Amino acid sequence: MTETLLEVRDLHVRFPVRRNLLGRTTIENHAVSGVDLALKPGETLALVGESGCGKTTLGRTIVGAQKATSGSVLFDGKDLTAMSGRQRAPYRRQIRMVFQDPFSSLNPRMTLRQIIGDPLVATGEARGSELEDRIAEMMRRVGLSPDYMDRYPHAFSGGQRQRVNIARALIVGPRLVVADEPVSALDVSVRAQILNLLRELQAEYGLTYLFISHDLSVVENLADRVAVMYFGRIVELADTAALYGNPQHPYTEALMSAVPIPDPALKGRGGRILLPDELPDPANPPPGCAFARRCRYAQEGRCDTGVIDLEDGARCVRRTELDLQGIIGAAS
Amino acid sequence: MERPSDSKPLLEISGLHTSFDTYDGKVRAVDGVDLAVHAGKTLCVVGESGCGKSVTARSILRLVESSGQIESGTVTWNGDLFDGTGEAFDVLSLADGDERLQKLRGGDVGMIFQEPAASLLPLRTIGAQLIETLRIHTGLDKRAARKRAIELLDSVGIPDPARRVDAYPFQLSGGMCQRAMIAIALCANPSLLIADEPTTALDVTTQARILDLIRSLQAEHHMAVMFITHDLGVVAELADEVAVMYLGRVVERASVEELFADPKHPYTKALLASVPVLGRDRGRDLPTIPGAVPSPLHRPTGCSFHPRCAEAIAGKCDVDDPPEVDFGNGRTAECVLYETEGVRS
Repeated sequence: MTETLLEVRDLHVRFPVRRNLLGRTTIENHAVSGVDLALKPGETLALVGESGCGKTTLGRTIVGAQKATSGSVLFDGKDLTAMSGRQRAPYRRQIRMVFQDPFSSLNPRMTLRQIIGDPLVATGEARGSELEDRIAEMMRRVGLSPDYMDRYPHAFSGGQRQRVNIARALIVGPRLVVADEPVSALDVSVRAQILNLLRELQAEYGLTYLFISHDLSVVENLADRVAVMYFGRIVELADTAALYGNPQHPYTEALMSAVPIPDPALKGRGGRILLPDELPDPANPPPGCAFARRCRYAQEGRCDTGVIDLEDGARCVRRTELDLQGIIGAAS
Repeated sequence: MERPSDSKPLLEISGLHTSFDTYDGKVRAVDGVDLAVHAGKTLCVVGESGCGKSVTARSILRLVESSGQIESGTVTWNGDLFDGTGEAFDVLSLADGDERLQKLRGGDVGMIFQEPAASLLPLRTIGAQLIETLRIHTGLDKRAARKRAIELLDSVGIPDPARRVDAYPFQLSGGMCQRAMIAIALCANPSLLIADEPTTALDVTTQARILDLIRSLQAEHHMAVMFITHDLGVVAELADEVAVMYLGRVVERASVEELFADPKHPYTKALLASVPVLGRDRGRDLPTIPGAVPSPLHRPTGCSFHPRCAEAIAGKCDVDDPPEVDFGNGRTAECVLYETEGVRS
């Protein structure tokens, strides 16, 4: 039994943008630039950040849907990136993914029985009445009636489809679930149901979650720890209460101040940080801190040179000098 | 002296019914909506998918797609009365080619949509689209319109507007496209801006800046805003008045303070409780609303929320249409629980 279920070491993922006549890549976008992460069994680690920060690419690389350019992904101490497809096969059932869009991620021509049972059929693990029993059991567990087994996805609402997605991911008994924005496409009134379901299933099966989301309120509700990504790097990593109550990176502070709070008494509360839109060019990352150009605390000569490492949970040279504002009530 | 704008709303929607023909039958997307937007104020219309909030907004300018039709109701525009250029009129009874309709669309009423990149023409530059609208509504010549276009792009916070005016939508980020959309919507100094989920597709940091922009432009131009959203945080931040919609009807109306402090309708209460709030709900199971929003094709009988309602009364809520209870001061709730309260009209 290891203390760490999943470890990501200095992971880089780059996408070719342009090649020269000889087929060599001349320009490439840096989607993930040196990510280190470790997940403990049974915890929920959230990856947050704006669109384009590399959080989905990181998730896809962990499940094996995307090849790493360099670095390694260790599951139970074994390096998945060094494995052939055949060697990796047993791990596919241990690491499963739940996708964002419950409409496009389910094949409309397959019944729920086929969709949910597919992983078992593909691995030859179950057939006949055992297959049926396991599908029914899994459906009940995620709150779907097994009577619906032979119906097609179109007959179901977004929330129910997301339950199908979860059932498909869990039926092979995974240990790690990478959930990429699983509630973002759902109606507000249905979101809470799915969040509660994810929490229940985690407790029941001892699951470890990598929860990818841009929604900071949802993340605070579900996550034990949070990694904030910016421009392919983790800029802050901390326990949820600490991160929300007492952020150490200016980007985290800005991100949190931007979340509208459903309380009109706080209307026009001070401290909202408006970031300029300038994003760096992913093909040509700037030296120093990638956030420096948008950061109100940035200092010339300190923030825009060299390599800034993640130290004490934050990738910021000024982290000890700043008194950043968190969310009131979050730390308690 | 009392001005007409003190007593009358700028825009008043009354008994609006809009339906769509689909293969599965007729969908009553908007099923009897009454709303009022007051000059200089912000009305937020909040609801989930399928509640009819977008169709309501599009019906105002008669921009409903061809499979849909506005069946009945009135949309009274008092803007011309207020600025002394004409009388109040019903938008829905104007002839298609009526000048007043043209003047309203993109002139007195600006509109912005959820997906900025999809709402702009991909093959024309931002500037060309802005200049076209300017020339139609302000009568500026080409050169003056271009100059004005650059000023407008600058005023909505697009950096380097003299260069960006010749950019195509795909060359700009989502936030920049939304700013360009806002510039187009505002180019004729509208007295009403209709914003249909304008920040839903954007990142929170971009959303914060767009909301800030809308707020400051509103203060500057004394413009009314009808803002459609599903995000209660955005509502709390922007609204003066709120209308909560569910399955084609307004189920509750209130000032923003009242709505959050004392929600009346069980749907509003449940919705407010089920949303995780920063700094409050870490690690906690959230109260849920059972089931999902039903398809408008299979609208439940009686109160359409009753199958999901914790306070539904059997034999009543599933049978009778709920009464609209008026609590005074523009506060209403469509729910039988308050039947004996309020000032019944």
